[in-house]
Amino acid sequence: MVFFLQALAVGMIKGAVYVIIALSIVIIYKSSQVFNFAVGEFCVMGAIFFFVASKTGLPFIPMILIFLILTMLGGVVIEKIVIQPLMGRDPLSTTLVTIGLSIFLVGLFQITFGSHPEPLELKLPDLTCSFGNLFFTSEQIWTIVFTTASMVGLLLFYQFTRWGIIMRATAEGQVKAMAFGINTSFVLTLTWVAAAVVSALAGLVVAWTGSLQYNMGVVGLLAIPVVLVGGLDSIGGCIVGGLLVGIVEALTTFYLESALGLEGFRAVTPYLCLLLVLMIRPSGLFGQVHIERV
Amino acid sequence: MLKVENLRVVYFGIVSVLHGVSLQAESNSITALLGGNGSGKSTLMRTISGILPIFEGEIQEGEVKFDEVVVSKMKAVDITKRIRLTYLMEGRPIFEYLNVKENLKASASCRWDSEVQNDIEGILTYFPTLRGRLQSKAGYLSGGEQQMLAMGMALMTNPKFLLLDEPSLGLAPRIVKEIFDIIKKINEERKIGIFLSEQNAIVALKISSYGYVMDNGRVVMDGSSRELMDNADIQEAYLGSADQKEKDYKEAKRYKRRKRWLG
Repeated sequence: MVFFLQALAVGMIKGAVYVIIALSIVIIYKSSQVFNFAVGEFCVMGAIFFFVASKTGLPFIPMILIFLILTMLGGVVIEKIVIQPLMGRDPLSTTLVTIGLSIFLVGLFQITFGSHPEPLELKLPDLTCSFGNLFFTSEQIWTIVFTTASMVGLLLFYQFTRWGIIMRATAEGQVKAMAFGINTSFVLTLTWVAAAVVSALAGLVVAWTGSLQYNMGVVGLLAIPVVLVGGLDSIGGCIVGGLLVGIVEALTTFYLESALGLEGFRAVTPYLCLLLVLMIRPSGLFGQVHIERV
Repeated sequence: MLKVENLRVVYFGIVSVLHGVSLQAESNSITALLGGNGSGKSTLMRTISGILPIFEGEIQEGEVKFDEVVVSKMKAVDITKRIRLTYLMEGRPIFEYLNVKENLKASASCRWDSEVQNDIEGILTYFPTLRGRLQSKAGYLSGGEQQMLAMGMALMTNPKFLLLDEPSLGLAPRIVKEIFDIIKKINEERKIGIFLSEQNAIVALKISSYGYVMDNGRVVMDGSSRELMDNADIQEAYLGSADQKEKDYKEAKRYKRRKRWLG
């Protein structure tokens, strides 16, 4: 039983990382119907900026500020150069461009950052805790905290703030939004900045629990089944999809792989989940069901 | 006053749509723009409102002025915000997945201030049917309600001048009458100038004071709405001819020739 609970907990924590990455994808998809394939590289970018900021030797708060500013700037620059010129076009064009962007960024990171893995130090209060035979490291607890914070923050933002409503409106049609005086290019910038910050958080967690390397962006690919399971435009769907995929993956590792000798089978299970979900609900578990008036 | 001078517009660099359109619309009155499908009405509206570049269109010649300010070089957002000229696209351009209240809020984005809540109340007095549906998703409203919501959204941008593109599109005659009554009321009570394009010539000419007729990218006729209503060609082309006897193909061809001569 303890073994099962530990597996469940590991799965949830793994899932929490997926949730943050998925959130970043959903933010962009919601306001422009673009699927950001470069999300993994956004994570790496954030982690690298944090690494740079932590090397300045400043105290904690200013360092975090520098990290945030760098990340936002990164988001703005990428959006202005790569995304803005394609505004008003078919979202598919932009989606394809993000694949190119991802390849370019991997190369850029390798040139500027180098190929060696670096440890990432994050001095946060120790939250290590244990319940009976269950044991959680401080990193794991903080991952949960980060995920919950970004989740709740985004949900409140989209539902209640002015810019949240405007972003949702722009998602339905940039031309329409423009005709009602919405500054769509600013909304687009805002979207990518928000996505950059959220993915930076994910990158931070990933690099913190492992190490920072230029090609760790492949973790972004793991989030693809997560968003598709949860629904591409649903923030709530991210958490369900993320936890589902994380738990399934952990249970596979703990039970199937060792018992059946299926080494590496855990990489397949998220996609099996995805297949099952899409057969039953084509727009994901919580995806927006297309409005059709009869 | 809205002034369009010798406007020539092409799409994709080669498809010529407007071949030198000139017209003007008074600031406080309703001006109607009639014309069949593909006559260039929507293109003209897109050009005035500045969203033409999104459709890959380009102004080759001529300009658009509003109160002597040249707007044809300005961005769409600035035209809505600074000139306070709002374009309501055809086909009920609402945000389907937002609820009615959020729709109204979102369209006030260019001037977000503490007045927004009061303005929503003010606008609901024109559209009482929307009041009961504030929390429902706009995509589930009926066609008439959607058109009313779209007009409410246009009003939320706080315009001095409104461009309405075929507000009667796809609506039942009774709803069309209701919508046009509201348009007239808005024009009278809020002193908002209105330039509306229509295929339904009767309703449009009834509430407008002046009208233009476009065909094939040109203005082929203009005059006060009363004159146009009495004009034999307009009656034949848009209002249904006075004598209802069926015409044979030969006469239809004569009509086509005549129309081309007009242009």
